[in-house]
Amino acid sequence: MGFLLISLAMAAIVQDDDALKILERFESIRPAEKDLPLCQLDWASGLKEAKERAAREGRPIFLIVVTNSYGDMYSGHC
Amino acid sequence: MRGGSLSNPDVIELLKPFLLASWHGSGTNLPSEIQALFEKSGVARNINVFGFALDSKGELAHGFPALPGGRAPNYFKEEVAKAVDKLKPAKVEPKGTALPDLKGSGPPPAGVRIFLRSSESGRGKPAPIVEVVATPPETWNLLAYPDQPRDVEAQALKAWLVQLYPAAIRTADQSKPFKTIAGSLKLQAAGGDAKRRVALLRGDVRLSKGGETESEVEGRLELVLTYAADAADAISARGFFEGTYLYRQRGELKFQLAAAIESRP
Repeated sequence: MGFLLISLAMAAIVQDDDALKILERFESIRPAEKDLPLCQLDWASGLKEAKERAAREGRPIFLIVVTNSYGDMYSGHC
Repeated sequence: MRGGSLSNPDVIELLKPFLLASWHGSGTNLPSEIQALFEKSGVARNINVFGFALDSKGELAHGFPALPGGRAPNYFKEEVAKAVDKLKPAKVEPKGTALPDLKGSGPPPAGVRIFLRSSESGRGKPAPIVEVVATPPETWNLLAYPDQPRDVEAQALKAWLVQLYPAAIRTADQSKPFKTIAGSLKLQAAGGDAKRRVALLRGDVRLSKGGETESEVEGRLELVLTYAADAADAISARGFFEGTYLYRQRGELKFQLAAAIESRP
């Protein structure tokens, strides 16, 4: 919702047809919250940070190990 | 996995009390703490993706191969449920959806957030990729308000453009950097009101990892930038990239890419 309000605010000052088309395309590509369920989870940057936070917050860790790729499960480039 | 079993609504609910982390790398040279998880759990390493549940002291509670591999459709959920059963984590306050983000006090913005969608790879519908890219003032300076139309070389936006590749490609391709970034973008004013001005940045870009046998991405970038009426620094940027990733590994495969790009914060 936040991004939509921002886009609407931007659209309010944009009168140029081409600019409006770009903003419309932006909104059609940008995923809605329902399309980003992994962002509802509490991600640490790595196992080291996860262990530090787990000890501090008394919470368990779920670690995903991928042995044939580089990247980041949170961002999705993996 | 990311767009499938891990995104299952039931799995998301089960995992909310956990801190999530991922480790990616070569299976032939595991760090000692990852190696120890395999040894303690006894999980067979005949696939490439695994799940490990640890308690708050970092001790292993449950481990399992995380790809279904012919197992029952609910296999992943059932394994996560076993971890929950063993650890009995306290409920946590729902945090809602928290996207990767940048902190800053611009203008100019601290960087951009890129939402990247790609066509199906034959392994199911990929979940959107979300990357944040810090962007120094020097880059934003190149996008300062154009009193006259001017060209901006695509190379100037290299840090953004190199994110334009699909997920689940071979490490050999993913780890190979783009060597050339070609294209010229036109930056020109596009009206505004008494308080804000608007400019458009548009053009075709092409990124290549080498010659005709290497992967490349080609497409069109279009952004709307806003500025204060009395200052040249960009306040915000929003727009998109649409194009094709030519994936050249053991043949050629075309991925359609569509990215929404927004400045942050």
